[in-house]
Amino acid sequence: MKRRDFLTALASAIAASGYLPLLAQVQRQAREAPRPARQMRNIFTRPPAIEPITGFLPSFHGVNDGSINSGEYELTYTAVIWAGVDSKTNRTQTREGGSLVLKRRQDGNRSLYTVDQKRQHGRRINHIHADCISAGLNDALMEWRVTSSFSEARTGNEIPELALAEKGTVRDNVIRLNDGRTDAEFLATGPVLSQWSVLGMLAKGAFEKTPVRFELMHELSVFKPGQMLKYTGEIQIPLAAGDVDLHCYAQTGYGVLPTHYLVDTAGRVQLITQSMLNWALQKVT
Amino acid sequence: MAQEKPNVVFIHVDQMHAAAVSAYGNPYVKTPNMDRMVSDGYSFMKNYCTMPQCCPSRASWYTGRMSKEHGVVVNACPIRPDVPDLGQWLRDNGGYESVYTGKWHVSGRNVRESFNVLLDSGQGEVNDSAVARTAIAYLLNRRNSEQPFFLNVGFMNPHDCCYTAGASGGVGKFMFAQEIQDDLPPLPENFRDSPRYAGRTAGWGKIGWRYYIYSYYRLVEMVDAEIGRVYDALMRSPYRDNTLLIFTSDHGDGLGFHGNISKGYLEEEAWQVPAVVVFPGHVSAGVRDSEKLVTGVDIPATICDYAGVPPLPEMTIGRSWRPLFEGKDVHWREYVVGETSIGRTSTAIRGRRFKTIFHKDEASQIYDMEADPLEQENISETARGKEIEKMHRELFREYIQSIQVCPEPTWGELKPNQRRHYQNYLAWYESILES
Repeated sequence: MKRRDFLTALASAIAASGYLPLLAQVQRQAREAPRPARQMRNIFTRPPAIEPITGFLPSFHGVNDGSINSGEYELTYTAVIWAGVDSKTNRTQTREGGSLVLKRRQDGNRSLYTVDQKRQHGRRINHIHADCISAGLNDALMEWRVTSSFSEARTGNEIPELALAEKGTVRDNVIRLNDGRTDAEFLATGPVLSQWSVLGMLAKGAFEKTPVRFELMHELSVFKPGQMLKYTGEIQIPLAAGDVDLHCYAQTGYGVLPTHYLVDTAGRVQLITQSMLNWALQKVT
Repeated sequence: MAQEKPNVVFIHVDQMHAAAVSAYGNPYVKTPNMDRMVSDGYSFMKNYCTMPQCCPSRASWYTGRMSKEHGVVVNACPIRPDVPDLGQWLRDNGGYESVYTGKWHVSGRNVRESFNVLLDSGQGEVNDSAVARTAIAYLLNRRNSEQPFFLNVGFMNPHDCCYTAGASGGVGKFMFAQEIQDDLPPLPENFRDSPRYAGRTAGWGKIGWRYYIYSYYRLVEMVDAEIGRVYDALMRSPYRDNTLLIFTSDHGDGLGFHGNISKGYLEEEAWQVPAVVVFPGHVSAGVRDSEKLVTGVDIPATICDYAGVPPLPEMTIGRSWRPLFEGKDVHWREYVVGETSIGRTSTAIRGRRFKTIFHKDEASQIYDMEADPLEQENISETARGKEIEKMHRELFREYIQSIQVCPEPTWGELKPNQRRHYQNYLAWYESILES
């Protein structure tokens, strides 16, 4: 049974059992009753992975070409920012809010990542550039350098006083992060990944059925231990050209809302959804 | 010449429940970084915002005035233009560099009038990481070591919960709750069906409520991680021993207590907020003060005291915490006041033991906060309750007489519903004084 049908059946059974006593009734009433202009209704989207981007999907074609089998590739994503709900269609509204270019190269038994992420924050644009060395089955981090700079969105002028440069290492389960002045240390009880190397790990398809526990170095600067990534099955979602089947992985843990990675059979992570900040694949080369 | 005045770092978050800190005993959220501040600093366990909504509460932080004094009665009502804010005050009277990054949200006041702005506000998940980055960069790259700085770091989270709760349609992935049932925290002991937010929580059921609380705690952790970075940057900097750090939230969140979400009412879950002060060598570490009643207007009073500048003008009831930290024998207040004009026009008096919520058009609610900290038994109809109500009504009158009540504005372009907020409380306060 496809995941979508399973969840639909499960929700109906739960509603019938009274656990969600008014779900079906409320949804029917919400659809049928006239509503004041500003009233919003709750959305119980199935599958939940796509709830933040339902309004984006009809225009998203996905990426059907570009192989990542060699382990050497360049992925380009666009940031899809949640921007409310259309009360007529009940679909989320989104806006574009940045880009991510991720390059992966293989060097013997090491993986080399180069990351360029640009996101606009009001009048300023933040550019994060990182070079990382990873290794092992799950592309665990070994060492990295990351720089952050801010520029004026209107002129492109950089703001030197907002520049940051850090370097990090993972040795003997200790993460050391140096900001050019002092070290911060964190104890790791599992492999250490960035959200970018999670994409590389998923591309290998090695964890289809097994949960992976890891520590997250978010944007290579923010320590978020205690993460778990689980395969939750295959789901079918509506895209621009029709319904598509994707493998769904869910990440939960400290400091993250449930984050879903939607991966095609070629290992390309087509969509990443959390809540406000989501990512959609644009190109693979 | 060495810098004499201390630096000030004011870190604030949005919509944080006072109990959402693991160091305070909450097993359902992990806040290792806030816990470090708690361990290194002084916690006030009975801290209350002046009004449980963003703009009024934040205006109180920056003006030292209560919500019925500075003009920001509810969100979008503009602040009195003649009232100076703390950024201007420290800059002009103390020679401070006033710096701001992140959420401001004091309606009617352009933050750029008073601060050097590093980054504007945005939703927590989208923006808080960048806010942290600018604050860290400011601390690392600063060259002028003789001028004291007043750095304000305004994080948005856990306010993103407003979106997961259906405030704008829901982004909560509520159907995912089924897959993580074992991870969902229990409902609060005083949870009940409540009409207040019935529309926004329609269809949740108990598992939906638990998922809301689960998501909320993840948002607290999300901001905890960012706070940790800023705190690390400060504690590893040359400014460590000469910086007063204050951490708090503008208001709380319902989190399922009394069946509530969001804010705007005066039950503890929306009104009480965390407050931690770290100042190595000046403020004792590891203290949890459950005795003193403190409030949002005390923060600017404290900052002005340490900065060696006069108090903000016409600051009426705000008091500096410095004598408490220095162990001085001072008479402290017997009650704090909270006000709201959202939904109902109400004012709460929180004494050491009893609490009364007065409503303009409804009967009062009275609670024994020692015997009934979850506010489940309204004693207003008991003999004891009637005694308390009479006593607290006198305190209410005393409070109105001690503040400078803001009249109906002649500034800004107000909509009719905004004018009604002012008219409501002005008429009510007048009737309290006359009764």
